[in-house]
Amino acid sequence: MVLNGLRGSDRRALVLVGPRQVGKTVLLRQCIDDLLDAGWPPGNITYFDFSDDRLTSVVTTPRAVLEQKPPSFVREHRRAILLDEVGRVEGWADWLKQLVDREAHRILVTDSAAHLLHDKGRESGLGRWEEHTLEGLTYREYLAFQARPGEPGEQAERRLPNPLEAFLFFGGFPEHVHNQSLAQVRQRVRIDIADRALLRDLQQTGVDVQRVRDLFVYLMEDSGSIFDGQSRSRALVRMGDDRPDKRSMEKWLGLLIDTHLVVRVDLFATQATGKLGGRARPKLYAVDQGLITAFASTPRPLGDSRLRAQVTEAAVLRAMRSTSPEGVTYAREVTETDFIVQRFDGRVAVEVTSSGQLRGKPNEVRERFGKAQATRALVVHGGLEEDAKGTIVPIHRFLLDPDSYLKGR
Amino acid sequence: MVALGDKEGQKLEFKRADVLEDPANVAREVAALLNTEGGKVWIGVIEEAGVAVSMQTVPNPEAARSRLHDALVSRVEPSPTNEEVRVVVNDGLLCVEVDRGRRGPYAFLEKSMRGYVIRVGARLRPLSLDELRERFSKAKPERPGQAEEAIAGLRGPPREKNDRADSGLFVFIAPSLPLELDLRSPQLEPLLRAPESSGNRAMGWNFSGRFHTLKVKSGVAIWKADFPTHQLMIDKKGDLVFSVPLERLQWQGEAREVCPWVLAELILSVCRLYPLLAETSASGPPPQVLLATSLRGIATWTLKPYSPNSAGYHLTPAGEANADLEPPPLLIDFSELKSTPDRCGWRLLEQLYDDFGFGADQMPPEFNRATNQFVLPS
Repeated sequence: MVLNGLRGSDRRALVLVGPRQVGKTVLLRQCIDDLLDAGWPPGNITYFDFSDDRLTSVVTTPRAVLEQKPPSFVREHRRAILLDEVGRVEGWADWLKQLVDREAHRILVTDSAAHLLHDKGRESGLGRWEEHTLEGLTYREYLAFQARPGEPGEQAERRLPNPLEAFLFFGGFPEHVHNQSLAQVRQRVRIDIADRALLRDLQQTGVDVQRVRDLFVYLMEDSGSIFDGQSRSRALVRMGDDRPDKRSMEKWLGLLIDTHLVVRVDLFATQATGKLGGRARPKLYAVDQGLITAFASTPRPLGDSRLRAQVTEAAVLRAMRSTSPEGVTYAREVTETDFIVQRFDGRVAVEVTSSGQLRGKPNEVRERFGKAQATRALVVHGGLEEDAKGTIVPIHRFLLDPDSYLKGR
Repeated sequence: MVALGDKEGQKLEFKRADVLEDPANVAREVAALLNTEGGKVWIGVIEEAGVAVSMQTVPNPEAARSRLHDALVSRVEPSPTNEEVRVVVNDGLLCVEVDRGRRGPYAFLEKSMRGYVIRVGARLRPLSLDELRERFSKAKPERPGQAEEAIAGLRGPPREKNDRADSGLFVFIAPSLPLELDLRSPQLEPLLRAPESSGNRAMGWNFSGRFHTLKVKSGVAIWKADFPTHQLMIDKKGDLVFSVPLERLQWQGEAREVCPWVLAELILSVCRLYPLLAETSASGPPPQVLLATSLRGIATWTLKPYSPNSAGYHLTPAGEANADLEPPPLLIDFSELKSTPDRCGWRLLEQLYDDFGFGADQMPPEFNRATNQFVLPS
């Protein structure tokens, strides 16, 4: 999508945001490769990384980057400008707006969502740029990373040692796909998320970053729970500090959602109970299951049945969001199923269980999904059993192709 | 430890230190213990009426221990294994620890004579002819040829040239005595499904598999998936064959390049598993096991020395196999396989590295020779 956008004739710039470590920089460099393959003159492709201290001591603004034109620059050809970590530059949004209005360049900028948050100009860019969010790898992408050239994901899955377990543990962070050390990956994710994305990047938003960090860790430990601001605020009281008020809590939570570390899932509301849906407290999930394992207090999180269930739900939710980004709600209080996915082709009630022992779950779900006026029911589980109708689905198959199961086979 | 005042009995015997001058005396006691319930022979203990009254330090106990062990191996028939008989130095005394034997009846050899005795209380009694006949009729024959024949049977006939169907990594394990495994035991499948229970990594390269199921037919348990991948076959006598398609040996490297971690961990995984299986045998674990590997269809595949974590690994010239690799089997005490499975598996791996043209010092450094453990980053 990003590559097509860059190659196309649309004047609007592309802003690629996403949490740390999901591969924004790699994607940006792939775009450069793609442009070169498409015959774009090398001199007309400008790449600059604003996180590189060696460069930013000489060139400090995007404007200054644009002034640099190599001798091979072709005046008659359009220019592609690719700026990494642009959020580190004060006023980047104003500059980008002016540039889009003035020149017909193709522009792609990236940064972690946390960095961009403090820049109010981001919101006023509507119409001048398209914002794309990059998340961690899906299971199919995770397998593709490890597949041999031309090897389908299903085949790689059979060849690799327990890839589903590894995906559930490591999450979709591309940097760690080939790492064999569970401890090392957990430590790196903790450092990168807790210390860099939260403590450092959010510093510019002026919030109490330590408390945001504490809130984040609590949410990871309780991923998939209904958010109870009052009890959370009690838990966030630090020595010598007041108990955080409701507004602060909401603000911190908003930041964590905007930085794409936490996903909010609202209560499903039928027409009759629409008001209830609006008032009800949301469930909050880790955006990537690897965050749950990284911040778990036990060294073997997948050996703990509660954590395993949380990890499984987060992974399934991630897969569903990739096909139905806006349409996932939770429905425990209404229909006693985990999720309701609203799609253009119908409504699907989804029950998730990390266990392979189904013990009548499919029938229960079928009975309940009528309450949600769902057109289909789906049980995603940790075993291998699968039925011909596609109602009972092993998690590895669902993660490989969520769309086809949600659509119905 | 023995104390003054302790009394000789069914499982306890005292000997003076000078018994070492004629180890045949000790061999007789050991054969009797092997034929009954096992027990201990303390050397360096003076007894009166069967009660320990004083101790004598054995001079140069380490050397005496070694000499006595050698004497017992040659004077008891069948020769006791390290699992059956152990000689240990304890506070200046020697102690011969004897487990009940499973390959009896045991004889002590004296000149040209074989003596069969059992222990009754603190005394020895010769076995009667009827008792001997009965014991011999129950005795299980040693496996024919011990090593080569058993493994050759598992390996099967030589591979036809270019027969892709028979290519792959194979690990064979055969006990020196037939086991009596209950392949329908409810414990077996969890053991195969959860590699951590045998000390393997949950996400490592091993015999386990998410898509595998266990089927038992005609006295053979087959752990396999419904598509071509690694599989494990165990028969009720304890013979095990683990086969892995060659494609699984490649990880991250070039095409047809064996990843050292994968090769090592796959072989070691079954060495870690086997002792747990053998110990469930109704007849108890075997005294010894035969281990062997084969790499078939490996010609033109390459292997680099050291490990993917070693500096300059990707630039290191690789060794190349030019034919099937079928190193000779290794005969290993079961106690050694149980206590140091990685070390035993490593010996198999050393053979394969040798065939690729690499010495032991060029093998992956993740094997720690001090702890005898192979540990990948985890």
